[in-house]
Amino acid sequence: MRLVLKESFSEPPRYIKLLAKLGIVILAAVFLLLPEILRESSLLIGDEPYYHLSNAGNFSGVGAGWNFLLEYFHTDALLLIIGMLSLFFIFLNLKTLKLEERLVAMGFFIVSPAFIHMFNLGERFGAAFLFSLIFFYFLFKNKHILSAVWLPAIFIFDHWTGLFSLFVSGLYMLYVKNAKKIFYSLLGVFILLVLIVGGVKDGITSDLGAKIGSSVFALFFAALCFLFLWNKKKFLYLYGIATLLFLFSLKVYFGIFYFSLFLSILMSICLFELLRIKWESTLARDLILLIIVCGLLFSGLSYTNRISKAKPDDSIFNALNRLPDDAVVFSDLESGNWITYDGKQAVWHSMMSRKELDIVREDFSSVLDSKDYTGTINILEKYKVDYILVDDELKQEWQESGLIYIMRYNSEDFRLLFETDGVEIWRFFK
Amino acid sequence: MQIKRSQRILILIFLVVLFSRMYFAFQTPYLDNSGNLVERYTKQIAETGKPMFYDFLSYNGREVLYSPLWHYILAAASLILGNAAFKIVPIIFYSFLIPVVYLLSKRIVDNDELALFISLMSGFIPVIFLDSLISASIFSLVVPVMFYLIYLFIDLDGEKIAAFAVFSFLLSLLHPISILLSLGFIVYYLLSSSENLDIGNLKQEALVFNFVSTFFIQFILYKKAFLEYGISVIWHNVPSQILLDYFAFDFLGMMYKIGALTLIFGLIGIIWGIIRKKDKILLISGFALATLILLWLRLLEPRIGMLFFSVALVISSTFTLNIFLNYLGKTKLPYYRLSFVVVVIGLIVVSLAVPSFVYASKHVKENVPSDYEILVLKWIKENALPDTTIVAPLGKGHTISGIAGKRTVLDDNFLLAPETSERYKDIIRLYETKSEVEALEIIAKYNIDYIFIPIEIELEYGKLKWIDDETCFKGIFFGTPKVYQVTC
Repeated sequence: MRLVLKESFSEPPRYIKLLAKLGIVILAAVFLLLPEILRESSLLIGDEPYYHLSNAGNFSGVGAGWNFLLEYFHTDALLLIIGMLSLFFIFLNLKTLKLEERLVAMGFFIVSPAFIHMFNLGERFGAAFLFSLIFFYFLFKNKHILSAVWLPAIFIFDHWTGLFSLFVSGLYMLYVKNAKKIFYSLLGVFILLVLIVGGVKDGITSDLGAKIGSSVFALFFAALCFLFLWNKKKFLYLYGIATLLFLFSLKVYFGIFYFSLFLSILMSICLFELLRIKWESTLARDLILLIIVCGLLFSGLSYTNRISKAKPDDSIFNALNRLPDDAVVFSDLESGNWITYDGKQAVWHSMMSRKELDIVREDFSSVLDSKDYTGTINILEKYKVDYILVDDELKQEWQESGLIYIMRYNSEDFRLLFETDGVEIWRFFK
Repeated sequence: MQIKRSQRILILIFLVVLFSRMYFAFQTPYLDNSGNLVERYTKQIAETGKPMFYDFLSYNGREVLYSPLWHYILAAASLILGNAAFKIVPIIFYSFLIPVVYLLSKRIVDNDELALFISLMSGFIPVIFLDSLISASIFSLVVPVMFYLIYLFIDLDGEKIAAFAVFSFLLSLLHPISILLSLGFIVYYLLSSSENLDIGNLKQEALVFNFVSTFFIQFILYKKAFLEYGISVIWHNVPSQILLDYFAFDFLGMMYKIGALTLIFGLIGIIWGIIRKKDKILLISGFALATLILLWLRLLEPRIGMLFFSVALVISSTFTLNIFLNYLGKTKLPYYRLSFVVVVIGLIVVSLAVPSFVYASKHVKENVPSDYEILVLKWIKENALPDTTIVAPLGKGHTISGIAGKRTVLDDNFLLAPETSERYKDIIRLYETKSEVEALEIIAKYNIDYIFIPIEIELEYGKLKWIDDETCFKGIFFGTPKVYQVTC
């Protein structure tokens, strides 16, 4: 059994506190601006922002509030403000922790891939996340009416995040009111739902190629701390919540944002606990903690670098610009929102309802996988496709089969119109 | 300073092993296939000071991912030793395993003579002996460093922790196999915990440090591979067609390559150590078990796994032999001590040294290019255009790019290589097809200019029929190997 060092952490001077807070603000600014600085083009990252931009000014569709806001504010500026405000409310929400624990937790969260993703990709989740933090801030302060006022705002941006916030607030209220039976029943139902409903997302950690996930070092550090601190009751509860959120993040896209935040808080508490306990070798302790911190930073920077190189690039829009407006363009699912944003019609896009998407996906799976000429032509005619857009990545993905094969060997129905910077546009003659 | 008797004997063993390895290594002036790759990357460093991260010759040009530390060491040595560095340096490093094994054995049994004897055994483990000769193998440094770390860990104290940290970093920087040591430490921890043995806080801290630093460095060095393949990175992008063979674990083969006596004594030592709850042998057992588990799960290439497993077995056999000697001490056999020593040495010679020498002699003959092959490749180097592509079977890729300096379609450096499975399939198809159309399709697909046909290919797939079309293929060399130029 390890001993806890008796010496307590002395209160740091006021200017040190101020410098530490300033350091966190600078760190946040760096990670909010870095992907844009590293990016070669000025285009937004990913495909979802283009859906919102296509619907800018409309108070409708997925993420209605976000669509509406984008008409009046530039996406990058909005993300920067929302990111900073989110950190401010995280700071306020963590009031029960010591200042150093709060700041370190925020630092860990800032360098997490989830934070970088949320406030650099122009998706609706950043705003929903901010409003959920405001909602919880008032809830924790027992200002229930004020808290309830902010709840609709979460729903406006993302109704699933709203439902999740409502559920967590319900659990919190039950816990506070000591209604243990209902609390545990609800928790049980939640665990069951998380385990049973839906499929598991691809990938857990962004370091192993997942589109969005936790840092492998964060997961490792949490697991390591568990080995050291599992016999302390406080940590068992914290790890229980972390496990639940982890499972939730495997099933629900936005779950990773809340899991990463909680993981950062957990890591910060554990870090200070590890610093308190007695180590046989301070060299080993310092090196371990230094490596972990470097690892977290490495994961964040590596993810920043990765998203800064993500599609789209100018070549896709240059090719699309050469096509007539309202033409129906077929490409992969990810390109759908870019096609729509450019004033053309897409066969499918990632923001369609699952039901609609399943139908289109089923139709096009036969187009992409088989070399059945009649079937392919029928499907393309059914969706009134005029043009087909294929880039290098798609050629690799679709390989020399299905649609690519038919396009290449059937000059009667397909013709390569042009190729610019690796993007091919094919005309389909109905 | 006076040198002790045991130290003198140890130096003698070191020199005997060193020179016997050198004798075999210098039977040929050439290196094997993988040695040629090391030589090429090292020469790049020697010439430019920078490592090669884009290989223009491999796979018609591709990105490569490796830690260049070993190549820097070789480049520095080659400034003094020239090309001989590719043989001398690995042999010297591998020979350092002898003092490391001696120190470890002494820690385990505190018997000087036995420790010396075990260190002699370690010098003639066939699998290690072969790896030290013509491959310019990075494991020549990795294996001694890894076992030195185990030695430091056995009696870890405040003074040794700094050295442990430095060598942990060095090992991680050298090769990703350093993960094996971290896993070995974890298995040791689990074994100790299951036996209620307290390993102490310092060892726990060192164990965590080793694990953290190893994974951190691997993530930094191989970030691209982790992003590209995810957790499948453990299979190094090996073509699916040979994946099973690549990681196939042959127990009988292991007996030959490790030595039957080493295997028997070593396994008894491991099992006995676990039963007797001996802390020091538990560490070696943990390491050996981790290696065996990885081999069994096909997560570790047997050729590499056996290098570490064999040394672990030799060290754990110290424990068995010590028990055996103690038992003999209680019988009348001590009267025949000399005869006994002669018999044991004889057995070791038969089970380790003889196979090592036999294999070594065969290895240096069969695994380096023949003089004719060198003549062919040098001709290509001097007469073919600079951006020429040569097709050759998988095992010849580095030899061709190394000696002829031309592009190849496929080699066994699979990590981050493009479409390895497809290329492997295409090359097999090229050599076995009877259809000239199919062959020309593959030739066009990879812009092949020369077709390299070694004797092994003709023995396996028969004579290539389509190569006789003189309008498309011009014969350059007709011996073994045959070389044809594509002219259409």
